[in-house]
Amino acid sequence: MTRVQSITLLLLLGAANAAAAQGASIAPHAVVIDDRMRSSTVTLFNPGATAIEVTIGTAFGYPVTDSTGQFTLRALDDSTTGSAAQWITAYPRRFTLPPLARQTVRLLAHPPQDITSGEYWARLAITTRAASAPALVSDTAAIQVGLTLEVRTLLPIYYRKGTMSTSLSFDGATAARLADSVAFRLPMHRDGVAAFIGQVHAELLDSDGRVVREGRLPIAVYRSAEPRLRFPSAGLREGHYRLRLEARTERPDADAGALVQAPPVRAEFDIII
Amino acid sequence: MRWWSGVLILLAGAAPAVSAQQGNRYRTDVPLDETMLVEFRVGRLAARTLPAYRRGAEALLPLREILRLAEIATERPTPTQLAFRSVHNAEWLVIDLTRGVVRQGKHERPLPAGAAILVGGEPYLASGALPDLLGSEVQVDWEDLSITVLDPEALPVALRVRRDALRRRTGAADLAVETPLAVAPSPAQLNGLVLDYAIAAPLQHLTPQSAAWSVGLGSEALGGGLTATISHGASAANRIDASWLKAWPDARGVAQLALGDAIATGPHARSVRGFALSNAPLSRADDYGVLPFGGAIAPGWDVEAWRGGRMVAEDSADALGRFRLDVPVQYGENAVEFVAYGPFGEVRRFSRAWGIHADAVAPGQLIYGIAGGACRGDHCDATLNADLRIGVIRGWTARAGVERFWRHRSGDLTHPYLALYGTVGAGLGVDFTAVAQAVTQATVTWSPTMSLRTSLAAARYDTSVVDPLLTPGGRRNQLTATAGWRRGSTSLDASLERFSAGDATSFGGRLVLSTSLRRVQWLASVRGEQNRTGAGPRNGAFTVGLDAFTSSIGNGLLRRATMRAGIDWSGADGAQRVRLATGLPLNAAVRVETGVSWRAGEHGVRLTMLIVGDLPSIRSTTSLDQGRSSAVEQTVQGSLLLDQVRHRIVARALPALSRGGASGRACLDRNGDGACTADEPGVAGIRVIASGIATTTDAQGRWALWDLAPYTATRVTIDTTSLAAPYLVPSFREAVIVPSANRFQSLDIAIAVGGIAEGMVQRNDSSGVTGMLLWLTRVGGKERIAVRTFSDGGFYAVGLRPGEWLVTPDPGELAGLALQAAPLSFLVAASPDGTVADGLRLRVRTVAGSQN
Repeated sequence: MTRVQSITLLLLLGAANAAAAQGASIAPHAVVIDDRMRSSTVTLFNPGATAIEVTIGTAFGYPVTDSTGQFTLRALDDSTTGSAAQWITAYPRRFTLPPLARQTVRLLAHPPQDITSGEYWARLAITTRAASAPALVSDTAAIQVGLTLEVRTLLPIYYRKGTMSTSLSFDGATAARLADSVAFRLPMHRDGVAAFIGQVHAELLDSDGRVVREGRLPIAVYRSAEPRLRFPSAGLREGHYRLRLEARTERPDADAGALVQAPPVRAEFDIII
Repeated sequence: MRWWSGVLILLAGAAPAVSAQQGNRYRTDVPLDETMLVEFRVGRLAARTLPAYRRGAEALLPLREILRLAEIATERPTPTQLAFRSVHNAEWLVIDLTRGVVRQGKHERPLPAGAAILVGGEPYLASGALPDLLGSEVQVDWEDLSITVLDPEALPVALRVRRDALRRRTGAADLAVETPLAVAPSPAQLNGLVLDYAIAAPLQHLTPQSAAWSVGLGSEALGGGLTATISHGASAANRIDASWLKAWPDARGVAQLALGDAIATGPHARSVRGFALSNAPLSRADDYGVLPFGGAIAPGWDVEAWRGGRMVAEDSADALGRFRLDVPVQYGENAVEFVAYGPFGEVRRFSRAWGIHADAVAPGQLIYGIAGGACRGDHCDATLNADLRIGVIRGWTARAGVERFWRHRSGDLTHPYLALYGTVGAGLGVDFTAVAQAVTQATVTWSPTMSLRTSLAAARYDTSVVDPLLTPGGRRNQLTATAGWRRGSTSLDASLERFSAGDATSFGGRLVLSTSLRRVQWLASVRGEQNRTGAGPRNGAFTVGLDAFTSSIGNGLLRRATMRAGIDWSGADGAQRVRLATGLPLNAAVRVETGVSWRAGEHGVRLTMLIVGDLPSIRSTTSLDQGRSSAVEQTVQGSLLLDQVRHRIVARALPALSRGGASGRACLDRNGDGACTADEPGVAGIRVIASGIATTTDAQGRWALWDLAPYTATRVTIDTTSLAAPYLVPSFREAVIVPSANRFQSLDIAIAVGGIAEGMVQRNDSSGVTGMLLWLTRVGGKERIAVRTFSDGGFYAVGLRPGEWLVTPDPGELAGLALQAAPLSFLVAASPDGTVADGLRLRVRTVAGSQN
């Protein structure tokens, strides 16, 4: 085995072991801070066998849809309207979490005096990496090669002042036939002061009013979005259809307390496939 | 990652050649797609690169390597068999590759076709069969060439990692060590005022004479607790008790002195009007000390001792398999569970119980007590006790002393006594006591496990004493045997007792079974006794009882309602007593209890009703009893405290005499002097805890706690999570006070707005120094905080009081790394929103002549 091969092998094995040794369990998955309390907590747990270093910061960003209709997180400048990233601070900001240990991180908000009622957003960026052992002796003979990976987790923070309200408006629907499916683009925008987080239940009805396709689409509409919904095209003939949509502020994967509730929003659109 | 798998195969040499075994039908009829190296991961706990075979979506993996990684012991009974402990029940599982079965005890089940093969003498198992064996889902990722045990919690490796982490945490010193603030009591000649009161009056015939009442007044005088109580009974003369008690927790000669109405020292507690002094602390610590426990298991095993959910001792077996633990024990019963872990995940559990006598003292310790004075009854005129206890060796205490009674009616009594009590190994306790002119008795207790406890006691009484005071009159001898067994909510208690008094002999027994079924606790008892006087006939009684208790009898309001029902049945006379009682809390403060009972020999049934009002400031009880006659009685009790620190009267529902308290104010320390001045605003919502009692500061920052043990060092802690921000720094996180009796101890909490320090420890080439211990010290203050640098050499500390601080690397670690550095100074300025001192750079440089 050549020297280059040995180092390659060590690098690869080191990478695998480091990845297995990192990461923390974080709860809750979304943080809501009330303007009256101006603080909240996040708990981190290290389930691994080695200590991890944790660095916590805040950033601003929210989900938008890209050109393909997929939700993606858009990072924006902190000074953008609606950002709470500049005035929410985590304590402690850095710490080492021993194996099987737990740490509560407090989030304190110091909003400007003149902020208006509404919902302000930020992302809590939690970065974890394997902690290095203390260098207690100066030993240059024991050379170790490894690759340490960082795991970054982004949690949404909702800072809410005043009465929360949200709603959704469907701005239309278009359909495009693909090789094996029919893709619908659903432009929508949020009304009210808070993000509309929930899911859309879609039904495709044929000209006889029968439901021929049905599906659900998780959505997080902070300002506006144009998500894509795909139905298999097998068995769908060309012709006139009707797309029936219902948006609800319900998500099985989200804490109910993090969602601003709103009445269901319904819309129907005529579609030609 | 597929590209490097080829590299790995090349580097590790060719994958093991598949060799057919004669008679192994699980090899020859199963085609294998390809050989490869895969990363096998046990959750995040362990990982190893292993050779594997791919067959469709499944991987065939070397089973012994997997079990070794999971730290499961394996054996090879035959070349085609592999035996290992089941993770489900620790029984042996045998995979028989010849027959294609998994055997557990007498049970066999077939392996799926092709699930196991033998390659080069090593058994390989399909990944699809692993979940059943490992108790977890297994994820096969061919893109990543990884196979992962998703939930390894039940595997021995996970248990071992958890144990190691627990031990590290148990043994690890807290970096942020802070000495508790010691608060001296404020000197005063006369301070504090406590008033206890209780009144019980029949409402139907209310007169000043028909009411019973008691009033107690307490204060602190000359550093001790001064208490006076006057009690008036409806049919008895008034009784006045007065006492002064002072304790010196750290003194060796005299630790407590009581004057006036006191409790006598020695094993026979009684009231005396005189004095009592001792070098025993007023409040004895719960911990007795450590007792040795040793045994033999096998080399390589670890043994842990657990008590009350905490690991209290651990040891590793030596080369001969011997282990020895010093088990910390407390006074009273100590149920200790021992868990032994083998090198391959084997687990054995056993338990022992130690009983530590309430009057035991630590080895080498000498405790004396002297008390004397007038008797508080007509059974004697005066009494004296001198008592001495010595801790002989670990677990054994010797006691000697004398009791003296002066009596003008039936002669004086002098009782020298001697006692020896202790433990003989785990679970066996001995107590021998000899009291001249009274009794000689021996008790042996044996608790082989936590769930079983037995005892045997024999006593022989001196019958020559006229009107004995320390023993039952006429009693000649007594033999008592008890046994108790407990498991979960089920217990069985049995006792037998035989005693002779005069020419009478009595023999009795009791058997009580208690268990919980469908949220109802059932108590079944059998009691019997037989008496005989002289040569007369034997007469006896036999009673069976059944009681049932439930803490919830329905939904809604009835969810918190309790019910108890019971019946006693005599073998000779039939039903003796039937009773039914219910308790219903109407709200947090008011509870109504009703009952109906019938007793043989009484006319009709008896109805009772009790209305209990438990308000924070007063306790009221109204009872109605309707039997042959009816009675209504009202009871009121409570206490009033003068809080001289906060200048207010505090009303409580519970008695408060002879207890202590602490009170004060939490304020925003604007001038940074660590104290609260009148112009500094109060801080609300701070949680203060002492002796398990918690309170929260009010809008003005005021707080008070009562019911603390007086003259006992008590920790007062601040719940720092109740502070509005982590950079707020209280003047103490933990303080130790010694409360006096009958008064509040003053303790203010000055909260400063502190700051945060962030920086780096760097070498000359700007590289960070990883894992270095740093000390942050406040100039001119006592605060000293330890932090370790992160991987990049960064450090971070929160909660620093305003002022100038110094960062200094730990000298030992600095020398170990052949580095040197000058302390770094920085300032934490006082600011309403906290200060961040960031961008700090502590430079270290190599010591000249070193190789770094």
